[in-house]
Amino acid sequence: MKSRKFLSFMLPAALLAYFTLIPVISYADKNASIPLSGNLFASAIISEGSYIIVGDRGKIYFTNDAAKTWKVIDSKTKNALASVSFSDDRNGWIAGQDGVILHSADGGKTWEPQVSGVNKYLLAVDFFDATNGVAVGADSAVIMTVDGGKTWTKSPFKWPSDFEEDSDISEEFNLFTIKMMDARHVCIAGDGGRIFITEDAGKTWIDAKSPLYDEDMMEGKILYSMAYDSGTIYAVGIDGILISSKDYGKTWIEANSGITQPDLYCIDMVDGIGLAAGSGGNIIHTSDRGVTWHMVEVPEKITQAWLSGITLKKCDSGTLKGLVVGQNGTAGIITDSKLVWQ
Amino acid sequence: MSEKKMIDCSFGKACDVNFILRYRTIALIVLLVLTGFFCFQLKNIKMAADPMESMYLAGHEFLPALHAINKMAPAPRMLVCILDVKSGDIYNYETIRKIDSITRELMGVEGILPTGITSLTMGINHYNNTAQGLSIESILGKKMPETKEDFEALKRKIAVNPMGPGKYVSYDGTAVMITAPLLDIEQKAQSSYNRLTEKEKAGLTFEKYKDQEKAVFNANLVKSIYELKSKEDDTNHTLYFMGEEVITAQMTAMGKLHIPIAACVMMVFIIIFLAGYFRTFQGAFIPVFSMIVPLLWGMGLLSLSGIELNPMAILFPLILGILSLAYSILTMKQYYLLYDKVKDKKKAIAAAYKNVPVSVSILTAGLVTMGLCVSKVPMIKTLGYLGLFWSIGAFAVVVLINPILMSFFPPPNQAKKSHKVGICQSMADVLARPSLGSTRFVILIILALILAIGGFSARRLAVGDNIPGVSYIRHNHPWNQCFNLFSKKFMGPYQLLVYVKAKDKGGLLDPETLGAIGDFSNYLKDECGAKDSIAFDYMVQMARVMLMDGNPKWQTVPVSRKKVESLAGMVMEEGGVESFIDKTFTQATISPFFPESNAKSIDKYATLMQAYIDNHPSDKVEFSLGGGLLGMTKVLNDGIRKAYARILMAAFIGVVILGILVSTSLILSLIMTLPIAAAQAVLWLIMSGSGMPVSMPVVPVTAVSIGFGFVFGHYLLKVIALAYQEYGDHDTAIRTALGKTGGMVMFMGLLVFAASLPWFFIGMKFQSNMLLITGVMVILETIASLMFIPALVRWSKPGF
Repeated sequence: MKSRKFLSFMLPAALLAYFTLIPVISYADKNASIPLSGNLFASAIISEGSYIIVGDRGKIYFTNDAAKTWKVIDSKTKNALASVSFSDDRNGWIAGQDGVILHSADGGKTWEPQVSGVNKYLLAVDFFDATNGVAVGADSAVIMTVDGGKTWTKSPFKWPSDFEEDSDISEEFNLFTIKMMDARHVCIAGDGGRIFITEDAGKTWIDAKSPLYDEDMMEGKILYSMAYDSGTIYAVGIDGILISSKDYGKTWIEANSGITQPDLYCIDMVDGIGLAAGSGGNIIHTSDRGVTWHMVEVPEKITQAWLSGITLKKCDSGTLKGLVVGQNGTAGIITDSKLVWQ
Repeated sequence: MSEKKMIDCSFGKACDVNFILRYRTIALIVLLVLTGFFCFQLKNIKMAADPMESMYLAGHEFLPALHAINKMAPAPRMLVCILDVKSGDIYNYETIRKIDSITRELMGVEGILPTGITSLTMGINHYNNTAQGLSIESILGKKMPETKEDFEALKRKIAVNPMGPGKYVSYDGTAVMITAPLLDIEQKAQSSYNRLTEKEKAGLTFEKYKDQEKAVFNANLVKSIYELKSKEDDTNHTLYFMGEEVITAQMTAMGKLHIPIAACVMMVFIIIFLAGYFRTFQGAFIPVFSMIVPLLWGMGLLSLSGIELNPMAILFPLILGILSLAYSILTMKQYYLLYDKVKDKKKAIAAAYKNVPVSVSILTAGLVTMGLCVSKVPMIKTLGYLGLFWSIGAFAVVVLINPILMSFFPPPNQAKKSHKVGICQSMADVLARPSLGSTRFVILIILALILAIGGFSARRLAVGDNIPGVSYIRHNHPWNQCFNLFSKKFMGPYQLLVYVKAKDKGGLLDPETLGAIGDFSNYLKDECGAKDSIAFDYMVQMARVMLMDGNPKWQTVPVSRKKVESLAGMVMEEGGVESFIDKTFTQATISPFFPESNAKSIDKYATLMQAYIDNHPSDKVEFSLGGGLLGMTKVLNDGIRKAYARILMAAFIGVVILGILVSTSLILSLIMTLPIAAAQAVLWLIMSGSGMPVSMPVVPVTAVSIGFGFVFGHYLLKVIALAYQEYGDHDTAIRTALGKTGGMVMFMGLLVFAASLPWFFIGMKFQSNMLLITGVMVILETIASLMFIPALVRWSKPGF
């Protein structure tokens, strides 16, 4: 009888418990790593292990362990950040949409806004040293600083008109790239493949004779990026165009990049070793100061992305470090001749 | 415990049957008139106009967004074709020519809007920034590629094209997709309906006319595309098709062919089994009559109630019919046995109804099936009501009409005693033997083990196989082959949409809001595992890049609202963005494409997405989840997960309580319930072992199967109780009862299992699974009842 009473209580309880425990689904949750996200426009190598990447929506990614882990730095803006330049291992500047200029004095760990005085999309920034810098961008905006960005002043740059010399057509054209060779010599380029230089720190600008601009047709091949190495300026642009100048941009010669169809959006060169990258994940490489260029093989996935930022730096240890960045969080890390995609 | 309890609990008492038999002609006329009335009602039965909607869990948090998205951008009527290359890739002359040929052929198919066709050879442009400005040309260029260099160039162009990899060309370059928009059949039907004369319109509502037109349109479309397939398929190329219209037409065709054939084969099986068992006309006729007529009552009552039946559950009534068939067989068997003894038809009929607890069993099955109403899924709830209506019909037929029919038919022939089928009895003996000897404790240990292991495997079960479309048909069906190719080689159909609503009209033109949409879209790619994600911000960015010399640094949302407005207007003018944003720029969607579609992955995606929404509140815009194939599947999965647990609980609690009510003993109730639980546990084990998930068809049949199990348990215990009253000894009572009825129980189990087998061969997986799971569960319950009830009785020694 006892066992039956026990059964009377235990069995219903067991049955109830049994059917209460029926299918429950539980999941393991996400990991906490920070992936590189969105469109990445430019990058910089600050020191041996410190790299920085900037991109759309005010994104700044920073690593100090040679890209093993990335962290997001607060940029205090949601504007697109298009360009970054470090004059040394502490001082760096970022330029971007709506005239945004950010400055870091601690090697990229923190960034503070500077007053640029313009509201144009600043597409490129370059600093020769910790005080002298230039930024260019949409609507032919050119701003310069001689005090590390404490004050930025508009340079008296005017886009030359082919029709009436007095009319200002600057707002119809954009400047995409800039290279500061020293405190006085600056070269800027953009729409129509036009190149302008200054030899007096931006007081006056000279229309350099770009081989890409057809004065009769009033059109030319756009230049997107420039690099400066050992006295030579290299510039790349639409249709895989590649030109170079050995006289601070006064005269230019065309080089054969080895590609004709894809556009080249970025270039950098250190000690005669150079890389240029562009649409369709195309990357070309030179190790003879741009005399010959060769295609770099990339994975299938990378061919679906554009690459807009490339940076190379010879570190104190003698190692060549580099970064290639682009669409949808695409990033490649270069160590000497090895390129590893993240 | 009183000796009479197990007997008196039956509602089908002899006196009731005697009363009916006394007025049998009037009773039969009344019941047949009612049957006629319910048959008449069948023409008014309402089928759910939107079967999907009635499968959604009511009140699910995804539903508002899902409905809003459907309202904002109804799913386009689109035919999707995939050309798969078996060896090599698409970058060769033959394949490109074939794509062109298919595209051209599709332009001539009636019902396809030719100008809207998109394929590699039509409608996909390559944008190139040149020194002369933006050049736009067909992705193939000015002429068909021929040389190796041409194909390499094409490959490069496709790689950077927004409609390239994953969209119209597979990621691996071995397949291409062609999409063809279809004619708005509703509009066409409306105009042709308006042209009908009043005479032609008589009795033909527009809805009915539209359905007819749709069916004709879909059937013609399928015919045309399969003609195209037979023309274009060769040793290296296979053409596949999918789209809502294609699956609708194919399921309709399958339904018209497969269901009648399977039903006929099933009926033949049943009749052969019954004829072989009873060897009389009435032995086959009355059970079949009892199977069909309660369905007419049930469906008639459903029609009267105005409740809509989901066409997906069209075979559910058949399962209920098999249940009433079982009741009828039990009473027939008792009648035959008792007629042998008493040699009087009326007395034998009355005694049979006294001995077989058929009324209680019907009541129990009805109530257990009604347990489906605890679900918040309208389709399942409807089946609960249908169960209730069926039980009314089953009571009327099995308890009221059958005794009358039996009394009209001649008595069972003494010479034909073949209803004692030897094989079934032998099988029952084999199953029950261990319980009758000293090994009964081993049997009880086995029972405990089954319950424990089954319970453990239940925890491993996952919901799944609920993807609309895919789950309705077999895996190897061409439509599913196309779907699988699309999932594997392309961006795929697995979207869980985010519904975006600006708080102010036109609020999505605000640059910050558009940027926030982009942030969410990026998050989906970067942290939720989406293969890609498309939102309106991307289109605005792309438009900006094109206008701004192709420099990728312009691929960003402008900071000025004016510029956003101008770009958004440009994008809208281009067209084809209806799925992403509405014309007032107030509602939008973010469309991520995920790689997985199992329930666990969907839940993970949804959790991550909801976490983002919770962590990014905005005073300008609201994000909510719902829509897309995964959104719909998630609503279905959640409904099933909740419904399955609830229905199981309700059914088992119901069976235990009803068991107590009919036996006034908890022990006896548990003896009836435990074999059902064991069968359920084995089913879980099978499902878990074979990787079969809990899907929509599994849920409603669970309740019916439990109802079946109760019939076996109750019947066996009743017969044991009767024998116990006669012999006063448990062992003898069990042996006697099993000797009389074990074969009968086995026969019923085998009959139901065999009846479910033809459905294994039909192409409609959803319907097939319903019948098969019922068949498997019933045979498991049969085995469990014969194995465990004797052991449980011997162990607990109830007083009856």
